[in-house]
Amino acid sequence: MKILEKDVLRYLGCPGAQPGEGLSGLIRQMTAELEACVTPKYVYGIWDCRIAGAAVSLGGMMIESSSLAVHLAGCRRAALLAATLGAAADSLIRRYSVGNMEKAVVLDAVSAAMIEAFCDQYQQEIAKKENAALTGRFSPGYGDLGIAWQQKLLRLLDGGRRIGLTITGGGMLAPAKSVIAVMGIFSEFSGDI
Amino acid sequence: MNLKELLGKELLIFDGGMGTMLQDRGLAAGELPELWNITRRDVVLDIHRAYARAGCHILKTNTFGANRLKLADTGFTPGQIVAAGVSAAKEAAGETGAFIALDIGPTGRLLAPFGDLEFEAAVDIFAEMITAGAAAGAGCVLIETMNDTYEIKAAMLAAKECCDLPVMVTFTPDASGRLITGGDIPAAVCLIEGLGAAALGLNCGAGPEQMKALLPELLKYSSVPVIISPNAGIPELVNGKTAFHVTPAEFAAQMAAFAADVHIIGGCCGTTPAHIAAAVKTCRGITPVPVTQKAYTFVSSYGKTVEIGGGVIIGERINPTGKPRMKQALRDNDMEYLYKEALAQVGHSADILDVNAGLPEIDEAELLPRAVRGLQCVTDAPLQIDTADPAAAERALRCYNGKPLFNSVSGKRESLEKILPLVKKYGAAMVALTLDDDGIPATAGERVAVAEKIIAAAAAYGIPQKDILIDTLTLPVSTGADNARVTLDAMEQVRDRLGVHTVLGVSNISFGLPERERLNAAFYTLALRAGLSAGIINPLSAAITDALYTYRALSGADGNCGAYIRRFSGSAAPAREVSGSAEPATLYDAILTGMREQAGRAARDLLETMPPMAVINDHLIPALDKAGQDFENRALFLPQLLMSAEAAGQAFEVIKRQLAEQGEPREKRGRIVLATVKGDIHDIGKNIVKTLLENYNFQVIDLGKNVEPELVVETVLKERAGLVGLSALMTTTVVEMEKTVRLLKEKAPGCPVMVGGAVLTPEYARRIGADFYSKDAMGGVRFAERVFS
Repeated sequence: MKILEKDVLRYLGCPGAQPGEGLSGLIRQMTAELEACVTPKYVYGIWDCRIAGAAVSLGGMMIESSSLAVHLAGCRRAALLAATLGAAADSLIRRYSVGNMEKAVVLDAVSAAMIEAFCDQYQQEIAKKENAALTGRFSPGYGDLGIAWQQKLLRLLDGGRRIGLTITGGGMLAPAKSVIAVMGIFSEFSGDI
Repeated sequence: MNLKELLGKELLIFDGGMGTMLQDRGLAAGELPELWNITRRDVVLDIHRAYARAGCHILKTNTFGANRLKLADTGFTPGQIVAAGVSAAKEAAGETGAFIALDIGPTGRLLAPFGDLEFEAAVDIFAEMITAGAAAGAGCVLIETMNDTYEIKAAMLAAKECCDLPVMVTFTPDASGRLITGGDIPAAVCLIEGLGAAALGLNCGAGPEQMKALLPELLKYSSVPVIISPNAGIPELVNGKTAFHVTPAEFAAQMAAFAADVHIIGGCCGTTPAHIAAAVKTCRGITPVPVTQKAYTFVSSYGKTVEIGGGVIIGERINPTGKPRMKQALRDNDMEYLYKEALAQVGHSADILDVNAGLPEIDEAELLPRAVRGLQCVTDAPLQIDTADPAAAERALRCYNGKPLFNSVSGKRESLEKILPLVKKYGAAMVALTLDDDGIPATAGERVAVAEKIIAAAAAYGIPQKDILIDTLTLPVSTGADNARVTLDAMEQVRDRLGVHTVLGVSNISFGLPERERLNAAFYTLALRAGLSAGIINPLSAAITDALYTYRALSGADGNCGAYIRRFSGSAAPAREVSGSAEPATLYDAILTGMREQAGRAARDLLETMPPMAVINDHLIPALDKAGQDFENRALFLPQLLMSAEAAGQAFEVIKRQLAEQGEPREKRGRIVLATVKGDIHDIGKNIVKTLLENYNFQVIDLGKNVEPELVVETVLKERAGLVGLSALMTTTVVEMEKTVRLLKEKAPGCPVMVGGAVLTPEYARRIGADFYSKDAMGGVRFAERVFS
């Protein structure tokens, strides 16, 4: 699993910047510290899905979302993924927020890049195991898929029990460096692209 | 026989999984299983009956998630669901006489500071369930599948306060033995035991095979009966169905192997009556090993455990006594200063941090718990809660996440009566001062007698000897030639005769004498020789910590002098390098290039020739302004801007220290209240703004994250703030921002409001009534400059 500097710079709000040795060094240092303390975990499950106009039926639920319907077009099954870096990333960011704010900011960006990189890796594992191609990840909050779906999708995966992922009253994932996403599965025999 | 009498003497067997059994009977994934206590009672009763017939001794009620958070919008209350759950289990148990365990799972929300659920709210949620369960006739409480020590503490306190039933706790670490918030097995064990569990152990998460690896550590530390309730293997979710692969026969064979060491076995997800029946059969006739008392003394935080013994370092610096800058910080509510002191000590090998907020003009019962919670946000070092005020003690011990060390109880009657019940209730370890109503005894023998008196009084409350650290009291050697000897003699006797841990505040020995560090270091070495388990010292003093390393090398505790060599070999080299480097930087350059130490040094030099405000206005602010302009012109990135701000912060700290020592107030440019709005727990944006504003010499009152609108308004009015900054990250939380702005405009119309956050736009900011939208942190600084100019 490799964290790319260009991804970190994007999360830092300076995409395409030439960071110089000082900032590059800081990114490397924070990446190493984060790698040493995180305990990434994930859980996934696969459900049949059906698209009905601007809604998707998945795991016994009818999800009203035209953007999700478009995303899953052509898929008869979908994988649900929940993943988290764990609470250690949040702790480390909080600790650096006292007197080392520049490290906190870089760490925050590195964490964002890291959870995405882990999700890429998990996605590949799922694709391999299912012997199928997957769409990109689609999360509550994208398009017209409301944030409130996070809770329902997490429950479907029993993600609280399985990986300790929770959702706050305000609809945020806690631990913060976490992802809940839906991916469509193109079955290799279905003739879909 | 009742359950308490059987525990630890006979092998007891819990039932198996409930949720997975219900899924087989048609419960959909994601549906709340507890609702079936009412809507499909026949099915729940059927499953309980099958387990009872399988021969288990304890049935778990189907109430794992029957809390008000999960039941919201279902039309049912926890009281209804829990009562129905207990009733179904009781009906099934009627046939076999099985005990009923009220099953309590996690709330489903992470507690603050990782999540947004406040500790007392969690206590309240559990209390509602436990009150209902006890009233309905449960025989014990099983708190299970816990993955955060703080939530365990909340549930155990609720059980203590709502019923007299025995409480068992099982938790769910990952394969490395850690909980989600970082606690390891000793951390969980010492917390759960301290809070008075009748039994503890592991459940869920893993199958028997994976749990086997964690069991030895659990058995090593636990002094109460041990429970093991694995899943039927690690689950896989396929086509919406959860599949488990361990068969009843395999499960039973592994449980029989566990039964030689543990006291209670059972099953979690994926186990069925067939698994339990098989386990009952293979375990028949097995008598568990007796439960033995383990002598380890631990204190812990949410993520770290420290074993007392061998010279543990307790950092003494968060204490206002004799420290003008710390006094100033406490008076000014400057928590940031406390946090920095904490991190500096941890960076210099402190294992535990003493926290004392006792100043005559301060409401200690309000400040101490706030300091404890704040410190636990930034460090995982366990804390020693240091107060003479019982109200402050109770509130701080209660909100502490982990097993705290309490400082202190003494042999005085009032102290024993007021403090020991608190130490017992909150499961703390404690420092015991060898003085009583007659004062400090003059001889070693008399001090040991006081120690014995305290140990006996503690035992009467059920506080084990291992949780007591005896302080034989350091008196200044300048006031009595025998003072050091008496203290050390008493320590040796405590070690040799009583076998109890010792602790000392070391620095007091040199009070009133020059070159205090020399005496402190020598006394510390002698104390270590006399068996000092933990020293309360200044870890920033190299002379003191050096003494610990040299003592360990000489005493043989540091095998091959490895730690000594690592600390001292080549230690002179980097120092030469630094002093030999280029010209000392000016304050301006040091800030622009973000060099903290140089900035501090340059500020110190400037203060010798000019007044503090001139250093700020002529050197510091211009440098920060240049950095700000470079950032605005995209010549600097955000981390670099922050480095400049932190370097300026270092210079400010030097100035503040000088002002505090001279007793002069510091002139600030204006007072600003910052908060991340209610519902929002992402505060990095707000923290960036705060770092910059503080280092532009504004006084920032940081209310933190997830802040109620009312608190923002109240603070603005009380502190007469001239500006408010609010941050919100999500579309769901800008609604709270709008509420906060509205309330501010109503109650504090003269105070401008600036807002920022990922989803905000200038238009939206205007619409919700904010005076200014800032696209980045420098924007906030510029607006503050305009407001206060």
